[in-house]
Amino acid sequence: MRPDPDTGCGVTGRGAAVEQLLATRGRHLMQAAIALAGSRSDGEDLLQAALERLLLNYRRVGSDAEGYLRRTLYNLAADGWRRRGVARRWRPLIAVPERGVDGTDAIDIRDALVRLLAQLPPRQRAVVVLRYWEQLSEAETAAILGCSAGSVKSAASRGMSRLRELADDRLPKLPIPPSSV
Amino acid sequence: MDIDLEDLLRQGIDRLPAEVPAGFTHRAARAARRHHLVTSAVVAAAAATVTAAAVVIGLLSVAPTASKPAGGEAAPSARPAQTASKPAATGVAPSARPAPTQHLPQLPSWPPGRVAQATLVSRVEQAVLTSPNFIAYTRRYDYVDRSKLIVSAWDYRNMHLLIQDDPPSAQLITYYPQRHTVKFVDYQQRTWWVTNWPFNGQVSTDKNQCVGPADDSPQVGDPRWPAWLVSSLRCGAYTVTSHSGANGTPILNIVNTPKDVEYQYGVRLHMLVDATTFLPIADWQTGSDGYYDVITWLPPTKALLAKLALPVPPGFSHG
Repeated sequence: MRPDPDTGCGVTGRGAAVEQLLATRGRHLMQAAIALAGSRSDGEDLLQAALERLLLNYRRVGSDAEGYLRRTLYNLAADGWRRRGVARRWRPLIAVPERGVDGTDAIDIRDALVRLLAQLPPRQRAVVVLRYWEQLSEAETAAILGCSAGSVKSAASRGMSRLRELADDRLPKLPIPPSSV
Repeated sequence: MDIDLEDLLRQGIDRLPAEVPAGFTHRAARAARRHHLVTSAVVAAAAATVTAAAVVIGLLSVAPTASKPAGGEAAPSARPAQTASKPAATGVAPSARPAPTQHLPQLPSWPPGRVAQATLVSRVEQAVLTSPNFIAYTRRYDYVDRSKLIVSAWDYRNMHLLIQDDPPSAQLITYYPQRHTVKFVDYQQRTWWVTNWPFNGQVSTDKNQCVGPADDSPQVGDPRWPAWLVSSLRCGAYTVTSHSGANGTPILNIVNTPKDVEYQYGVRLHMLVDATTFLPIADWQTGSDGYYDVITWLPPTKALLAKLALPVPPGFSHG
């Protein structure tokens, strides 16, 4: 057991295992969490909520910690994790907004699309991220979210068409990055 | 857009800055321990309650008479008290920033009453849709005793002003057709800035849901809120469950129904509507994340409109 530099408390065996998991897969998981939650701060909260569950159930999870964490992350997001408290949605409104972000300049269409993703309902958002970013099949996505492949297919289709609508409405003038043309 | 949306989206997520902050696992572990302790405490408390109830039942069964509690009233603990503590002093001159109002009007109790059909829903719709004739002032408290004022909101047409005391700050959101601007004043750091956002976050409606995604539901007082409430009422997400009154004013008590997207997550939303004006005057949500809103509808006087401009005090620097 080694001490935590912040708290001085010891790191348990499962804590060390989770830290190792985050060291290798943390960036990927955090990107998924931010895409699912819509912002960096909410993404951190979402990933932390998933980590809490992993730590609470670590003994039962066994060797598939990463699989459990991913399933939990996506299911928390798909089940409207943020809906647990409406008050929660109020408070971030007055949180200090990011500075220096101006929609009229320097917004890359790719970044704008990720923001538009937050306009989708949580389940569609989770399906879109799993299908088109994680590049999982419909069956694999369905297995993670605990639903049928048909539901995944329709959610992915509706999600992408909604995203396309939003993009057509709101992004026509943004520059297309050179790498994608 | 005739470009490959999937590729662009994939590249966009790949570009997200996603370093895991230091100490992340420890924070999660601490939260997990707290969760474990709270769960254990709740289980212990429940066991103690059951034991105590068994003892009381045993005592009552041998007592010659038992007093009957007053009927019709909600349990005292379920009703928010009608006082609020003063928010913490912030060290900022009172004239430098808008202050949350402390006075609380007399609020009605809401005893269970006769359940009636929601025949007045259309009149509520009419009232809230004409709300641009008013400024809606909302105070949001932590639930139960309203001891902690979370935020005050002032709203008029496309403007949404939020004021909080801890940390002392205010934020004015102004909505336009394709963008919204956020003016933020930090009274502690004595700075202010304006941010533009390209999207206005309109509440979208999914055909499979009663109203739009709950994540995007506007709060009471948000300029988008009247339209959202109307769409909720029209599709049956709320229903009138009882009548009550306060100081001679008839009150409608409405709650969310299973058609509301929040309902399936266990969220129970209550709202009081003044049955003479058909404007909502209070709403609250029970539970650990509960809150209580007091809503006041005010005429748009010059003084109130000046407050909505969110003036920057002299000497504050532009961030």
